[in-house]
Formats: sequence, C-alpha cells, structure tokens
Amino acid sequence: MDTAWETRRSERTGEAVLTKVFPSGLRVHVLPKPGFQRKICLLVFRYGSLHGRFLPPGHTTPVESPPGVAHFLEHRIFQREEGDAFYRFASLGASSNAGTSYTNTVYYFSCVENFYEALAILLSFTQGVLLDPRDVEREKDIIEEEIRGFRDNPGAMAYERLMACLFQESRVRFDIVGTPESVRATTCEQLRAAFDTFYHPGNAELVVSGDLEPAVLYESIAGHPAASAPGSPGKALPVEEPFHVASRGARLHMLVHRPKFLLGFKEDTPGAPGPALALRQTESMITLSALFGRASDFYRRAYGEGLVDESFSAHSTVEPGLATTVFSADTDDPEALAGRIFRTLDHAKREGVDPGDVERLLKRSRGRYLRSFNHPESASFALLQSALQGVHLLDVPDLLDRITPEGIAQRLGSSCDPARHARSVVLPLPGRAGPGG
Amino acid sequence: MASKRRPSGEFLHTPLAEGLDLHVRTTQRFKTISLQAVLASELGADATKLALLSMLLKRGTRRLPSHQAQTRFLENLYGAGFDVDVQKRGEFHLLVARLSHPAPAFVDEGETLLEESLRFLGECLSDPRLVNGVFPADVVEQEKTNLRRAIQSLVNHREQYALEKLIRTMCRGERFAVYEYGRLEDLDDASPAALHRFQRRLLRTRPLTLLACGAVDPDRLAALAETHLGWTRDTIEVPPVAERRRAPAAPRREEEAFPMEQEWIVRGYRIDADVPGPDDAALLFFNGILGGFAFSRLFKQIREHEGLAYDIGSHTERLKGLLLVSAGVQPGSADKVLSRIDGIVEDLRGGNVTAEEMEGARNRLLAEVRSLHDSPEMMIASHKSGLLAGRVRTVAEMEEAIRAVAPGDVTRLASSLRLDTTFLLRPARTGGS
Repeated sequence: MDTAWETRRSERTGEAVLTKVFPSGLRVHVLPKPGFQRKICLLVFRYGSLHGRFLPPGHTTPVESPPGVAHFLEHRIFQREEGDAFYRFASLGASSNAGTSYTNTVYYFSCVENFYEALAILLSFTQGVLLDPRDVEREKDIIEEEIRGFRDNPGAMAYERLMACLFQESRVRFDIVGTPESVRATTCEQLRAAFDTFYHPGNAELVVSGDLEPAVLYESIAGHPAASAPGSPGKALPVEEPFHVASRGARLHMLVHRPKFLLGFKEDTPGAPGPALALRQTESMITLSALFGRASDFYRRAYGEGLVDESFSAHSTVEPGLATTVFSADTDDPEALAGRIFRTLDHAKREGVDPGDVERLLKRSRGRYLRSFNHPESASFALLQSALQGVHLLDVPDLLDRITPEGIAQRLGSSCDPARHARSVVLPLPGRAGPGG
Repeated sequence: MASKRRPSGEFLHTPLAEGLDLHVRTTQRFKTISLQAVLASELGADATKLALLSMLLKRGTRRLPSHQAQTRFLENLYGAGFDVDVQKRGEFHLLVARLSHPAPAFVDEGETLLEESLRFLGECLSDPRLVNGVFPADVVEQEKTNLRRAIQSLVNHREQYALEKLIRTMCRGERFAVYEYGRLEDLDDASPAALHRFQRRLLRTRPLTLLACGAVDPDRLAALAETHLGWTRDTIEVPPVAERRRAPAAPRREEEAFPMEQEWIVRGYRIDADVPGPDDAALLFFNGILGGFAFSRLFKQIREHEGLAYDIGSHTERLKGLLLVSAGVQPGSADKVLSRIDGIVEDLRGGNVTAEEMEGARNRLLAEVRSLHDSPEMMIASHKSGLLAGRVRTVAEMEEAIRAVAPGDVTRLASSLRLDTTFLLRPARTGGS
C-alpha cells in the first residue's frame, strides 16, 4: 500500500518523507515518527495579507479587497455547519490554532488520539465558509480588540511603520490584521470572494507528522472531498513594487523606557517557490549571522560599547512576493547604531566574509537540521518550511553543501542597498520617565 | 556508584556527592542529548546578584574568554543550544544552564561531544573569566546596565507588567513578591568582588542537580559530572519551600493609569487546597475549565460571546498556591468583565461543571501527559517540576491521577479559592501618540 506515496529515506537520520499530489492539487507531505505519542497536522494556504488583488476562479475582472481580509477569514473559517471547529477539535482532545502572515495562512492541530476525526475537520476548511452577517459583525469587535492590543506593542508598531516606509504599493504597508476602519468596512461578499479564490485545495499544502500508518493516512486523505475537489484556485495578481522606498523614516512616541529602533532594507521581490528561493533564503540567513550574529565582531564591539544588548537582531525575510532585511534593537543611540550597521555592510561588500565564519555557520545549520527531526512538532514545522520554500526536506543538506563564501559575497552584493533603506523608531513619551522597575 | 542509583519517576537518580545529584533518562528516541544544570536557592535579598551572575557566566570563561569565543565554540558543536538564565519557581530562585547537542550516532565526532559539553557547562559555572581575581569590572558594568534596562523595560509588555504589579501588591512581605530579575536598588551593591564572592558561595553551598535526556550512559555521565561539576562543597543549604498565607478578609484593589489603548485586568486568588500534593490533578482540571485551555469558560463567555476581550486566560503558580487571571479588555469594560469572572467562579463553586467540560479537560490533560515522552525538553521540565514540588511521578501515575478526578473535586477546588487582589492597568487620557 506504501506505493501510493512517493517515499524517500535519509541514510544518516533514518527518517523517511512521503509526498503526494492528489487530484484536486492538494500537496501532502508526511514525516512518520513511529513510537511518538503526539501527531501534528498543518494545513497551509498560499494566501496572506499581501494578496489584496486577485482573480477569483472563472473571473476576468480583478477583485480588490481591503487590508486584513486574509486574517478576518482565518477567524471565520472555524465556524462550521457542524459547530465551532475550535471546540470540536477540543472535544477530540486536540489543540488547534491558526495564524496569518504576509504570504500564507496556516491552520494547525495537535493530538494524541482521534487523529483522523481531527484531520477531517481540518480538511473541511477547504470545503466552504459560513458567513452569517451577525457573526461577522461580532467578529469585528474581537478583531478590533486584537488591534488595540497590537497598538500597545511597541515592537509591532515599530515594524508596521517600517514596512509602511519601505513599500509604496505592496500590501505589506498595512499590518496583517488590517486597520480598525478596514475591518469595520469588510463585507461578507469580500470574505466569500477571498475564500473562493484561495481556499481551493489546489492552493494548499498539508503537512503531517506522527506515529501514523502511511496506508491508512493515504486512504483517509484520498477519501475526503478535499482530495478530489473539482475546479482550481483563483489567482493572486502581482503588485509592481517600485524600486525606491516610500519614505526614509518614521517616529512614534509610546510608553517605552528606551528607544526601539528598526533599520530595514527593501530587497528585490523574489519569484515562485523552488530551489532558487530556498538557496537565497539560506544564503541571506548565513550572511546576516556571519556579519551580525552573536559570534560576529560587529556584535562583540557594539555590545562592549553598550550600543546594543541582547535585544539586537538581524533578520531576513525571503518569501514569494516579499523580501526584506530588518535590524532591530532597543538602543539609546539609533544614529550611532545605524552608522555602525552601514559601515559593517560596506566593509563586507568590499572585503567579503570570512570563509571560517561561513564554515562554522554551516555546521550550525546542519545541527539545527538534524534537531528538526527530534519530534513530530519540530518535524512538521521543518516540513512546512521546506514545502513553502519549494524544496524537498531531504534535499536541505545538499542545499547547505552548495553554499560557499563566494556565493555569500555575491548575495551580499545584491542586498542591503543603502538607497533602499528606511528607519523606524519608537521613542519614550516626552517628559515622562515611565514607571520604575 | 551504581549501587546508589534508584529510579525517580521516569529518570534514574544517582546521588554523586552532598549537593550534587544526577538525574538521567536514557533513550534512543531523539537526535539530540539535552542537559540542564540547576542550582537551587531562594528568592530574597540576593535575587539581583543571581540574575546578574546568570548574565556574567555568558561573558567568557578562562578557556573561552569572551561571549564571542563561547558562541563560536557552540556553533562548532553543531550549533549546540545553550543558555544560562534565572527562573522563579514558587519561592525558589534557580540558576539554570541548558545545553543540547547532537546524539553521537548522527555526527562524525560521536562520543566526544558529550565530554566537550560537560566540560563547557562546568567551566561556565565554576571557571569564569576573572581579572585580578574578580569578575572584570567593565563586563560587570555592562551587565548591570543591561539588567537595569531589562527591569525597566518590563512596562513594554503590558500584561507582564500588570502581573508583576499584582504579585508585588498581593504578596507584600513574602519572598514571592521579589521579581525574577531582582530590584533596581540592589544593583549598586553588586561590585565585581561582591559578585565573585557570591558566585563562590553559591557553588559551595547550594545544591546542583544535573538533568539529562537522550542517548547517554548514566555511568559515563556520572563520571563526567564528577569531573566537571565535582568542585569542593561545604554544608549544603537547601532552599525552603514557599510560605503560604491567607487572603485578606476584604479583597484588595489597586490601579495604575498609563497612556495606552487597551485596559488590563489581572487578579490573584489564593488556593486553600493540598497543592502541590494530592489536589494537583483537580487544580489542573479547574484551571483548564476556568481559563487555562483555549476552550475555557473565560475565553468562551468573555471573548467569544461578548467580544469584551481578545487575550484572556488563567494560570497557576502551583508551588505558591496561587491562581492568576489576566485579560486585555475594551477600555471602560473592566467592571463588567470582573463581574463576569466572579460569576464564572461562583458557578463552578456551585457545582455547575458539565460532563462535556470534564471530558474535554481530561482528554486534553491525558494527551499532554502522554506526550511528555515526545520531547527531551518536556521530559526534563516535568521531572524538574516534580523534584521542586517534592513529588516526582511517572507518566503512568500522572495519567492515573487525571483519570480519577471527578466533578466534585473540581467544585471542591473552586470552593477553596479566595480572591486576594485585583489590579487594573488603565489607559490614561494624557500623552499618547
């Protein structure tokens, strides 16, 4: 029965990965973990807050939806004919959750028993959405409360402002949850159009890990309407993002003790998932770790001088349709820190990076890759990540083997362009020392 | 040594010396070996020094004399995960050093990694970089600044801030009132020499427990622990268990106003039941049904039915016998939400617990307990928590206790709850963005 899956095995770790594309287009990735109790299942749609303009299936005129619709839909999808999916998962002993990012929406459950019942609930998310106008109105109160909490979060506010500076057209300008106004203005029709366009199983990846019999799992998925649904998903329309940033900087006063500072770069918009995207993602991560990681000369000096503390981070995002590099720190001297970051980048662009650093960081990456097989939870997130990158999880070691100091230098040369940077800072409220410790 | 070895829950316990204990769970399930060294003291006057020490131990040892050298060493150990931190557990204040690295079967270096990591752990704790026999003055100054900022930045996280203020109000005069990272006013006394004396005294007088989970041989680990953690010890001072007090006759209420959007309600109850102890399982049910699980009453009624809150829930401080509720609510709706919380607690006291809620909680708790075996970190955390509570259990024993809980136990637990303090963090009209 195993023949239904495409199976690959890793000699070194002894782990197997099973994959299959079902007739509806649903792509399934499985990492069996015999002997483990917990089973994890993730369903991800390639639909996030960026996708504000799209063609529903069969349409020729684009639909424009307000910011926050992907997140709003994520809240409403749990409402099913059979009752609230959240409570149905719970009554099976499964815990469930969901999250919307710029580029995708993930639904998750984790359980020890009743896996197949929970799987059926999860797959039903591809089958329809209930949009009762009264429930939709009440959901707006909950989302508004979520936004209020977000507006008290200095880190999140600084990030939102930074994105609004970096981008002119992309929906990344708005926070994922939208604004109170856009949420208030959202209609059932807009939610329906988004569902019809993006929640077709052909736009989804299903990831499973745990002690499951592959043949039984196969039959269970194959027997669900999600595996054989006719039709196809609609299409997100690309947004032409201009080269230059919208503005150089933003500042905001909030209840914080020290300035929270973000320095960001807009990077070239990446294309579709595949090995090139995965390589770029990994190279960008290694580059930032080599130059700005905890073992870097930059960090040693800046920490020693009190310019940064443990709050410092350097992070690259490389996803289909969105790429940024963002430095973040609580610091008393944002200007000095920005200058230091620019000088470090400039120096590395001229001199390259130390091959010893790259070698050490690759060893770290190999250790982390191995660690991701530790249990069903870590395995399922590693599978999800590789599915979204468009590479096979067992090809990740080969990907790491392809990374060289020369490739890193080249990557660095085409990123962190000073002409495309912006700053965002949250400053303490004027004339207010803030509460004591 | 093998003769002294005995089972302790899911682990094997080997007492190595007065003040040095090894707890090992040998298993081939994982790709990693996880280690945790726990040095136990009590919350109190030295809390700030302990927090500072946890930061200084990451600033270099004699052999790896900087944070950079330590980090590079760990990256070469296949990105071994490592951290030193302080943890507040009841009125215990723990210094915890964690390290995990690949199991020998999966890397070329094989068995040598375990020795490397034990040596690294031992050196971090006992052989830090010194200048003129004390911690380097510049490094101490930097970490004092960082700790000061960490304490002051608590306000950036409104819920955490509100919970800390609640505990400070509610537990005034108790050790538990001390913040995990200490007090600003104690920072001045922490000189390089005082910190070094403090570190030496800590190592000599406080019990150290090494917990390990993974493909390790207990005998080999015992020998490595004796070599690398077996420094000379004096009489060991075991920290006392948390004091219990009663709630005041009239519950307290305090508030504070800041320029912000959302209002936070936090409240603390004292639990007058046998926890940690025979009532542990009933407390898990009660807290889950009230606000600990995603499908709890607080979430269902206050968020889903009335849309008054987004974040709402409860958690327990079992070792101290407290239950805490927190909610981020619509400005102006605090009194409404508080009366809803009162109503839900009253309802549970009155015995109104449904069979569905009991089964939901039971399934969820059984799943949690069974899957402890799935993760080395969870195995270690659960065993550590059992050791601190003086009540180590096997997974089978925990399952049995969960199966035995009846609705009457939940009602009894609810009835033992005494409201102590409510703290409100409210939006002020002044300032703002």
